[in-house]
Amino acid sequence: MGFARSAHLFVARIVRPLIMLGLKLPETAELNIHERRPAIVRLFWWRSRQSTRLAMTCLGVVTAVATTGAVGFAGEVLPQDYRRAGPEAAVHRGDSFEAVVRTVSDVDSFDGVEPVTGLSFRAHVAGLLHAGCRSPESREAAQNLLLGRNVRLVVRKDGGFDSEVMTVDVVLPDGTDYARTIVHGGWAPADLMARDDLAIVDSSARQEHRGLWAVSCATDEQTTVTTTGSGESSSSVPTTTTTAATTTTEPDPPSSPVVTSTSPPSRDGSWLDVLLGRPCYVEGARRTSANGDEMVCERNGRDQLRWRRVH
Amino acid sequence: MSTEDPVDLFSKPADGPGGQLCLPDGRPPRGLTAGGWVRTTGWLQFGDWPVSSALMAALLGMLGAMVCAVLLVSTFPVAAGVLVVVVPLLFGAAWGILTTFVQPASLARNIGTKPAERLSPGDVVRLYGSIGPVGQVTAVTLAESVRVAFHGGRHRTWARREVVHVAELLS
Repeated sequence: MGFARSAHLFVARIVRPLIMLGLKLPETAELNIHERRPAIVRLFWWRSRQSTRLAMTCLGVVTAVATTGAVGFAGEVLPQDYRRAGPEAAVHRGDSFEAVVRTVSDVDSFDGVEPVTGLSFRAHVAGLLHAGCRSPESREAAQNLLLGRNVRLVVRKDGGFDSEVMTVDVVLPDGTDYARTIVHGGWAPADLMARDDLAIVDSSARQEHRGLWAVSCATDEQTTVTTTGSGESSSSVPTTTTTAATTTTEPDPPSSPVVTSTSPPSRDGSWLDVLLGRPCYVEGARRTSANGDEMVCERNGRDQLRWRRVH
Repeated sequence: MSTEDPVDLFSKPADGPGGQLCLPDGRPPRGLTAGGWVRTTGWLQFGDWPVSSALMAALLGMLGAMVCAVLLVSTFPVAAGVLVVVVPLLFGAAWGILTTFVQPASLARNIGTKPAERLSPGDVVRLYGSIGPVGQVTAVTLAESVRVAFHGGRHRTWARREVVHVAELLS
């Protein structure tokens, strides 16, 4: 009781005068009826039936909810500027989401939009090298596979993720892997650093001269490897492989079946650095590493082609 | 007093001890004003249960908080969640403080209706409609219309058959 009396005195002597000085409070019921008649709106409210008051309240609630929904919906359908709304706003690494490809700028990059959120983004496909050897057919093949399609993207946890581009794996509508399809068709070299599982597919595409390897890249990046022994080419050993740089023909091959090349290894080409354990393309190929070790391309226990030291 | 003057011998006492309108337990109503009428709060009643206006304020606060939360949830999800919880409590508490200390108002319950011509001294009735301020009838004068005098000196005139809401003060 003491607290209540103190609080009442505090409010009556301090709070109310302050409030009256500053702003006019809403009356909880009505003004002094001796002084003036209640406002017409208040009279209407008092005289209305309870069902009318409930209906008016519900109408207000519905209006507020509808307005909020409309504002939220309008915010979603507004055109998005993908340079401002980066992909990190919509997805996180490792997320999988569906998207519609809007434009294909290259065989390994495209712009898309996520239908659910309306967010636009730019994506780089993991496992495809942006090699200098490109042809219009590569982009055409990419467009045929991607443009306007509803694809599923898996954001790479280990991929680059700068402010504008995210690195993704692309699953085509039929369930196939886009990068594998492209590499298999020979439309782009595989980036074995990102996806070493594409090594075999890439190797077969090169050997069978598919896509790029059948035309322009074959002339630019091919290294003829001859095998000797009896002085004749051996059909059981790969006799031709592709490299990233100059073509060197061995007119007088050595007595042992050695694959040689004078071209330095290049990540953008078909050869990767000749380092122990790094991926390679042609089984049986031999090269000399930078430190002078003789290396050979052999399959490891997981059936992957890797450089090993020759014993 | 003329013998033809209407006198209600069974009317309830108009004033409590000291001539003041009071609750059944003897306390004066919280919303009693200097003019003798009682300020009330609340506008919704289900059966005999008047819904507290503090609860309505809390619901209103929740609605507003949810609207804000929808707009904030994408950028400040934690703040949006806190808002939905805190704002209704603040609204309810603020309205409770307002109707208790700043503008004291009583909780009243409508208990029925009756024609104005049947009002009797001691009845507590709504002065306007079915909600709003209440006054206690002190005298009823029947003529073509009904002139009702209330505690504190206020008068109102109603048509004889106009329905008036009779209320009961709870606080």
